[in-house]
Parts: sequence; C-alpha cells; structure tokens
Amino acid sequence: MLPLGTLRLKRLVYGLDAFVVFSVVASATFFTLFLLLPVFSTIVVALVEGGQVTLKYFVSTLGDPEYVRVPPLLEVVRVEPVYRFINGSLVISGYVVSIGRYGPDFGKLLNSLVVSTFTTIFATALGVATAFVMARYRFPGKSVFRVLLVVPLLATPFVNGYVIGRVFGRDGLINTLIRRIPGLEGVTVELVGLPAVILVQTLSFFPIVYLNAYASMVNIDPSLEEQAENLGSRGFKLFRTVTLPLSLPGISAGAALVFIFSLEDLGAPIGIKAAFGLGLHNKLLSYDVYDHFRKAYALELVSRSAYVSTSIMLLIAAAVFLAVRSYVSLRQYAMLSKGGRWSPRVREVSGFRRVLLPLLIALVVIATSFPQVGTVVMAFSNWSIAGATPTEFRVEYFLSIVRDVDMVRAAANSTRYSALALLLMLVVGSGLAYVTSRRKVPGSSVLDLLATLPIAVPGIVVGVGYLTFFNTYFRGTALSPVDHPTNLLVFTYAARRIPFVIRPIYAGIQQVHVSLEEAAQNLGAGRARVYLTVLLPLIAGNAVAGALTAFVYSMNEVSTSLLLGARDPERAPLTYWISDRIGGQTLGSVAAAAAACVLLMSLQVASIALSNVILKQRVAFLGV
Amino acid sequence: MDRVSARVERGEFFTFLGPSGCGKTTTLRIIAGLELPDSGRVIIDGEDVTYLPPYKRDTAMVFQNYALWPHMTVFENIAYGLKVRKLPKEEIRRRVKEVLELVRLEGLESRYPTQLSGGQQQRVALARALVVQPKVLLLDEPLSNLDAKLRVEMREELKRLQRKLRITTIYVTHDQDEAMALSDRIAVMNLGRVVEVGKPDELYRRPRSFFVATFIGRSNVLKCRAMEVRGEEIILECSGVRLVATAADTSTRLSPGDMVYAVFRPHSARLDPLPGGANELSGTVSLVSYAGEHLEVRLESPVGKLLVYLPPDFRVSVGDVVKFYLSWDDVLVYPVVE
Repeated sequence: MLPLGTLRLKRLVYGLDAFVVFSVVASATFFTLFLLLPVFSTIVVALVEGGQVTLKYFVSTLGDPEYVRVPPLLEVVRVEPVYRFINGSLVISGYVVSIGRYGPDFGKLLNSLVVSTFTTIFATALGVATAFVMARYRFPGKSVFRVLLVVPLLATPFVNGYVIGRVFGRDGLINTLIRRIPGLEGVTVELVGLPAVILVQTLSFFPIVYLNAYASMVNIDPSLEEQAENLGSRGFKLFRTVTLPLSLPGISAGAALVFIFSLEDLGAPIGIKAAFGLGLHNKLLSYDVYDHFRKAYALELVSRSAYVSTSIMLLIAAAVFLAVRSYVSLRQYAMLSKGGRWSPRVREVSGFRRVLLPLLIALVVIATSFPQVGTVVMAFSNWSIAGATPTEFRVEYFLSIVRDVDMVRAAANSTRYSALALLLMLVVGSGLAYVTSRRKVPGSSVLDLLATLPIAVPGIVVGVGYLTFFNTYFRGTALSPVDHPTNLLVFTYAARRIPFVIRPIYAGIQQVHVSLEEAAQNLGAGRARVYLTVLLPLIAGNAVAGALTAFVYSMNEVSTSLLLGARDPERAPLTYWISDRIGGQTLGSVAAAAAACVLLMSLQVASIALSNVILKQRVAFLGV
Repeated sequence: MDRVSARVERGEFFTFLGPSGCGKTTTLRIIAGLELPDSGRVIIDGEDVTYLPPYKRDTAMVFQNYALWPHMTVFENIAYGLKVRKLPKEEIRRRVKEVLELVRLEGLESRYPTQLSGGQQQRVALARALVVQPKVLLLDEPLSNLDAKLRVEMREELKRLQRKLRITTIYVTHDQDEAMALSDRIAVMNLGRVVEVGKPDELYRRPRSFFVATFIGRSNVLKCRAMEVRGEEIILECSGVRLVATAADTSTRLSPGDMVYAVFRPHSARLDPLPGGANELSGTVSLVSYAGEHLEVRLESPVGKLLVYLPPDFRVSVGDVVKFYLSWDDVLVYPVVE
C-alpha cells in the first residue's frame, strides 16, 4: 500500500492531462483576473487608505442622511388641490394624487433594500401563483399563454420605465381613463419614485420566479401529491403542505435572482427619470454609483462614497446568493421514484373555472407585458410626441435608426464585443463545464461556485471594479479603462454572461453516459480528442443554445455598458446609445430608443426560437 | 477490493465471475485504466501499466451498455480506434470491412446505432474493440442486455471469434452458465476477493472453497460433525446419519469433533448401490419437477431438505420414499468458518 499522500498525488497526476490542465488554468485565470480581482478591488478602495484598513468611509456614508435618512419620509401618497383662476377668483378645479413623489424616502441604501424586498415579494407572489395555475391545470389557450408569460423577459432597457411613465404620468393613459369617470374629471393620479421602480421591476422580473417555480412544480413526483390526496388533503391545504414545500428550492432560487437583479437595476431609474425627470426613483444605490462615475472627469475624482455604495451592494448580493445556494443544496429533494419521465399532474378544469383561469392568466399577461407592447407601439407610432395615446402609425422612427450613423456604429460595436466575449466564454466555459462534471481535480468545487457566481455579482460592481482594477494595474495597456474603456467590455460581458454558456453545456454533459467517453479513451484517444470527437458533437445543441443566450444577453447588457461606454461614446455599445437617446431632448429620440429596443427584442425572440428548435424544449436557463 | 491477484495467459479466455457488487467490474476497469488501484500493479505483456492512462494501454473494452457513439455510423464507430492510431485510409477501410465480415454485419456500415437491433449493436461494440487488435480484450457483461435466446447465440459467436483470433480475453459476468460455456479459466470473486481460480469443470466438480461449491451450480449442504479422519476419507455424523466423505481442499486439517459442511451435487445421487459400500440416504418425496433430461426430486430426509436428479423414466410421486447412494468422493467437506 502506498502512503496516502503519494497515492493522492498519483491519482491527481493520473487525472491530469494537457486538456484538463488547460481548462483548470484558463478558468482560474479568467475568473481571477476578470471577476474576482476587479470586484475585490472596489472593496479595497472603500476600506483601505494609506495602507491602513479603515471603516471611516463606511461610517461617514452610513451616517450621511443621503444614504440613511433618519427619520425617513413616509408620505407615500399626497393629495394636492389644483387651483385655477375662474372669473378673477382662485378656485379648486381638481386634485393631484401623487404616489411616490414625496415619499417614501429612507435614504439611498435603505431605499435600495426596500425596493428589492418589495419587488421580490410581489414578483414571487405573482410568479408562484401563475406557475401553480400553469403547472396544474389545463384550460383553453394555455400553450399560447405559456409563450406570452415570458414576454417581460424581452429586453427593453430604459424604455420600459419610460412607458410606465407615459401610462402613469399626469397626462398618461390612466389619467385619461380616470377623467372620463363622472365625478373624477378633475382628478389626476401619478405614480413615481420608489413605487414606480417597484412596479417596473416586478413586471419585468416576475417571469424569473414563474419559470423557476413552474419547472419545480412540473418536476414534483406526482405520486407525492397523490399520496397526500389519498390521505385526505386537497385544494389549498395540499398546495401549502406538499406542493409549495417541494417547489421551494426552485422558488427561492428565482426569488434570490429577482432580489439581486432589482438591487443592481439601472434600467428602471433611468427610464422613469426620462419620463418624470429626476426624483426619488433615482435615490437608489445603483443609480448613485452610476451617477458618480458618469459625472467624474477623472476616475481619481470619484467620491469614496461611490465605492462604499458598490461594496454594500456587493455584500448584500453575495449574502443573498450564498444563503440561497446553501439552502437550495440543503433542500435538493431527491424524489424517490426515479427512472423514466413521469407525466406531471395536470387537471382539466370545468365549469366557471374554465373561463376564470384563462381570464386571470390573460390579465397577468396584459399587465406584465405592457412595457414591451408599449415599446413596440412607441417605435411604430407618434406616441412619444403625442398625448396620452398614439394617434398615428409611423415607420419613420424605426427607419431613422437604420440611417442613424451613431446607432449603426453602436449596434456594430455591441455585436463585435458580444461575439468576442462569446468566443472567450465558449473556450473557458466548455472546459470548465467538462472539468466540474467529469473530473475530480482539487478545486473543482471552487470552479463550480465560480461558474454561478457572476449571476450574484451586480453589474455595477463589475463595472466599478474594472474601472478601479484595470486603471491601477493596466495603465497604458490595451486594457486601460482610461484609454480603451470599451475593450474591457469584451471581458465584462464574458465574465457576467458565462453562466449562460456553462449551464447548458454542463447539463448536456450530465446526459451523456460516461462510458461513451471511456470507450474512446480505451481505444487510444486522449482527453482532448475524446472531448472534440465524442462529447462535443453530442452536446453541440446545448452549446449552441447556451451560446445564443449568452450572445443575446451580452447585447442587452446595461450596467457595465453604461459605466465603461460613457468614457468613450464613440465606441460605446447599443445599450449606451439607447440610454443616451432616452434621456435626449430632441424630437423623436425616445421613439428611436424604442425602435432600437424592438431590434434587441427581435434578436432575442429569434434566438429563443432557434434554441427551442435545437433543444426541442421551451425552458429558459435561469436559476441560481 | 482486497488483494485480487490473477495471471492470464496469452490467448486465454479468462473470466471474473461473481455476484453483483463483488468487485469484478472494478477489476476490469482497473485493467483498462479507467480506475486506479489503491495498491498493487497491472502488468500487460511484461510492462507495468498501473499508472498509464487508458489511451496508452493496448486494451479494448466492450461495455455493458455497448457505449456506441450515437452521432457516428457503424463504420465511423468501428474506424475510430484506427483513426486514432493514424492508419492510412485504405487500411482503415479494409480492416473495418474484415471485422464486419467477422461479426457478420456486412452492409450495415452506414447505419446509425439507433437503427440497429440490440444484437447488432452488441456486434458493433465487439467489432470496434476487435478491429484495433488489442493485446487484451475486455468484456464487461456484454451479453446482459440481450434476451435469453440471443444471449446463447452471441455466446457461441463470441467463443467462435475468440478461438479463431486467439485474442487474450478478460470477461466479467455474474452468469455462471455464460462463464462455464466460454472460459478457459474462471476466477470466482466474492466480497472484493478472488475466492478460487480454476478451469470450469474443476470449479464445478471439485470446488476447493465452500463459496464456490454453493455459488456455482446447485448443491445440497448438510451441517455435520467430523468423527474420524482416515487418510482421504472423513467419517461424518449428520443429524444421526453416518456419511463417508472427502476434504474438498487437501490442505484442510480436520480433527474429530469439528463442525463441517458436507456438500454434494444433485446428480451425484445413484439409485443402485455402489461397489465397495457407499453412503446410503433416503427421504420422502415432497416435489417432483420434470426437467427434460432428468427429474428434479425434492426430498424431506433426516439430514434436512435435499435435491436429487433422477433418471427421467423413474416412476416416483409425492409421498414415496426414495433411497439413493452417494460415492464417498462425491461428498465434499468444508470446514465451518465462524
């Protein structure tokens, strides 16, 4: 018997070959250089001064009423009379009901937490309810609803917030309807501030919970529910005691994602600002960081409080991520009856429910997808310059963007950065997926964690991290954020979107029986050859689907595109161009932004359709 | 696994036989290099290959699930190992053609594995391994996924091929009929150890270990006490019945009073008295089953329940008392290991 240490070493050497070594080294280098070090450096700036660790910036930021407001403003609704001179005297002609304009305001830090918490609660409630109905009942139009329910995932950066503004603004659609109600002619309602942000985010993030919850519920072994029914449990009791607990891992993964996405979201605050101007909806950590970096002439001039904000966002997101990750792995309920796909329990509904269920789901679809619908309407009509509703169909805005040199250049930039990022993601991601699923090398559990970590790191933190880290250590090189800020976008896209490549490839490898590879090795093929000739052809569908998703989500990327793009607008990507237009004052600039969003949505729809054809399934790869 | 040791001769058909979980597949995977042993070595043709990766050993394995690559045709599957060895295209084509003839699959080159029957898939897997002319052919329960009739056919086919090619073959199975029919020698494994190695007829007729005596074939087991040891003969007392028997393993040392197992095969039972005096047993028939070439008769006897095979024309029915004889060297004695 060999000594244990020697044996371990022998095993290790035996498991290694050029391919495995390359994969491990490439992944480790990639994540260290392009994710961990930049992100870590933001904390260093916030915590270290003159070589000494100091909490003084944290303390001063937390003591600043801008960040933590004591006492908070709690006036969520304010009703103000509108005065008018009639026959020389001032009379009240109506009332303005403002929701969110004068409060709540807890300061930027607490505002962010409040928004993320409420968004998560609302999105989860809506997502779980919808998932339950979709997973357990059969009713007319269900297959159509299944497609429509994921429409909110179509990216309409900034414009969705603007659409909400046009609907809930003083002269918006809602008020036009209210004024038609007898007795309410003089009443104007507006929704701004934090409630507006919560609304926009709930609508766009709800499908994340819905998809995760749906997948969990469909995968519940039907006999588990049947057993409970058999013992007398039914209806809501059955849901509460069996279905819900069993799908909790999926639901909590979805909810955690929503929380993190909400925390880092820039789209809603910028979009709402475009509709209402600056307001409480901009008193959020994400906007605060963005604003600091946007306004700074030199990176050295950025206030430390921006780094403190970044660090706090990172810590919150990391805490949520780690908590859910450990919870989900604790609760990986192994269903007992394995072997063969079961058919999930789907019940035919009858009577009034046959009408009620489609109606409820239709309401959800209408409510959640109207930002997307509104974006399309805005792109193809005069709505952006007309009143509450569009009055004529126009293609000129849409056509104008094609002739817009800046837009074409921005779109080309985005495509180039995304394509290069994709290449990087495929090289690093496929190797990493192989190593974590097939080889037991030391540190493969760390690689596994790194593979999902990018989901948890807010984009703004990545952006700030790159500005800090590469400005410190790569000054004067092609990776300097001062001289070539947009070069870095290739790496931020790759670092942020690589989970979209790794997950489907990993899942594909899991489905390939290991003996197929062993047979090839046994016939004399080295691991790289086995990977290329046996494994890769078998998981090609997964790889293509993952690549498509990663590419599209790179094209849609907002946070780092804005932070880095703003430093070199000539080479900035499309999302930066959209943010520039949505804030622009020229006639039709918002419609042009909407038109660009329509392009992005079309790209996304095409890629989803293509992956569905390739993978023959309608499942988005989302989840912690 | 614990100190598994076996030496396979060139050109031999060698089988690891044992119940599931006994470590036989692990042994095979260690030989192939798909797993590493904690200790010990694997030597092929004089070369120590223990720490050589699988692709540098000259072995070819047929997997239990065949492991045919679904994205490659039959031709591509079989040609894979030759391509890896960088043989010229012409030779690859010639050798694939030859091996397809050998396994009788001519004309199926362009099919995909999913378009083949189970038996055909199995032949492709075999052809893929044979075509590279490995030093050692490794077979991991290759017949277990086939139906009973096909299994017997493929068994004969496999034997024909192995005898023709004289290729050193290591086979793993839990099916003793298969092992008996195919092997030159068999290593019987249990609980991660090789219990006994021998030729099929040796293992069947004169197993040296109690495990093999009960694992291979059917046998009657009586718990007895040794009364007297007279050279090769051992006198036993089994529930009041006196039996003369012999030690299964000549190295076994027994003393009077030791508890032992006495084991005999059902077909050792004779109806006529044997010359020179023999063991005489009798029992009441409790079940008779017709099994073609013999009758399987279950008896209730003073020494316990017994199973004997009697000639098919023997007239017997439930309730009859049957008397039979056993030669002393057909009753094998094994010490009881506590």
